[in-house]
Amino acid sequence: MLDGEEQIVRAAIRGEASAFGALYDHYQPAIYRFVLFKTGRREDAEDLTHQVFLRAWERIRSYKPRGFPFSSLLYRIARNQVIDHYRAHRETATLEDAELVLAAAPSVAQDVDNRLATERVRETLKELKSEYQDVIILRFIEELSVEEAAKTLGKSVGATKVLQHRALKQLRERLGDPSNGDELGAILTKAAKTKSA
Amino acid sequence: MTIMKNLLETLRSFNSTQPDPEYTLRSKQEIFNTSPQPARWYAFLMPTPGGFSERTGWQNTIGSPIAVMAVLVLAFFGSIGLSKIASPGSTIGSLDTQALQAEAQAVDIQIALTNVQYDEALAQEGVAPTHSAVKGPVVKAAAATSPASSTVATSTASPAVKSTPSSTAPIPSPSAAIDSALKELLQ
Repeated sequence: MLDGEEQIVRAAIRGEASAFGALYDHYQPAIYRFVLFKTGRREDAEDLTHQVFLRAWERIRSYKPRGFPFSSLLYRIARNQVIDHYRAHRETATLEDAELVLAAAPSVAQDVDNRLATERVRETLKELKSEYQDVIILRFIEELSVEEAAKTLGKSVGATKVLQHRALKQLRERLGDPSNGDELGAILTKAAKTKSA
Repeated sequence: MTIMKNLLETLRSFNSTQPDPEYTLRSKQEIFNTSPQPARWYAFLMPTPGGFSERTGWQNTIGSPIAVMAVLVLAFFGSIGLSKIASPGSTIGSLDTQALQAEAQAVDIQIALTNVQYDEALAQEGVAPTHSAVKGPVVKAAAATSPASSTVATSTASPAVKSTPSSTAPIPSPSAAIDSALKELLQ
């Protein structure tokens, strides 16, 4: 959460572009990643992230904080944008799916093993249920606390913990599925060693 | 355990993914070229995190106000109809009581007692008739109504009289049959 976010949000509600600019600078990378890991395509992620902030800015005067962090509004708009995107592009969504997120994050893919591991994890993450994706992205990629993730997802802390447990379990099961290759553990271990070296 | 640890580390590494700075700059400029819309009066109805629209996946932001308005309109018109039915003092404007009374009187109901038997012994002994539903003297009559024929059972306060339907006995005119039966009962 941004320092002094409440004041900044109030200023943004009054229509101050600089205040909204601060919110944009702080949350735009996270929203971009959120959309990117759900769509898998950089162009889509850029378009949808732009739409998220455009909509938030256009409707900022009607926004009532109600104790939730501003990011919960942005994530909610982002989820809706992704859903609408898949509805509109259902038949073409898989055509260019092969493009890797790694293209946007060259620092992550430092070697072949790392690339393989991250690609496998990303692909498997994309196959999960939408709410499982959400909780994994928020908790383990964005590293939000359980409380923050719960507020963002609009769930209780307990429900978020359960959701997180199920999501991780399913992700691990799918990664460990023999049909996905038994060598996954070795790949992940090797990738971790490469990064730590 | 090792796999899980490495998995979490791999997920954490995705955090370094950043959008293209050129795209970020362009997007920001485009956003600030627009101005925010004025606040809407129904903003309090907008979906909240974890609210109904969130749980159901019904994401149309204008949907909630429209739904509430529809419910209010239905409640308003529905209450008008209900108030007419519910209030006991109200009368139906189109009801013509005189016409209904005249119509009821015009209905041709003919009751014919086909066979009346006076059971003197039973009346003297005060034995209740075998008919289980009736105590005391009873008249069982087969009645014919017009136009549809049906059976009507009646009871009187006179001594026990049993009347059984008879298909063989000649049926007198209905009014005469009633008159004679009443005379017998009075005697």
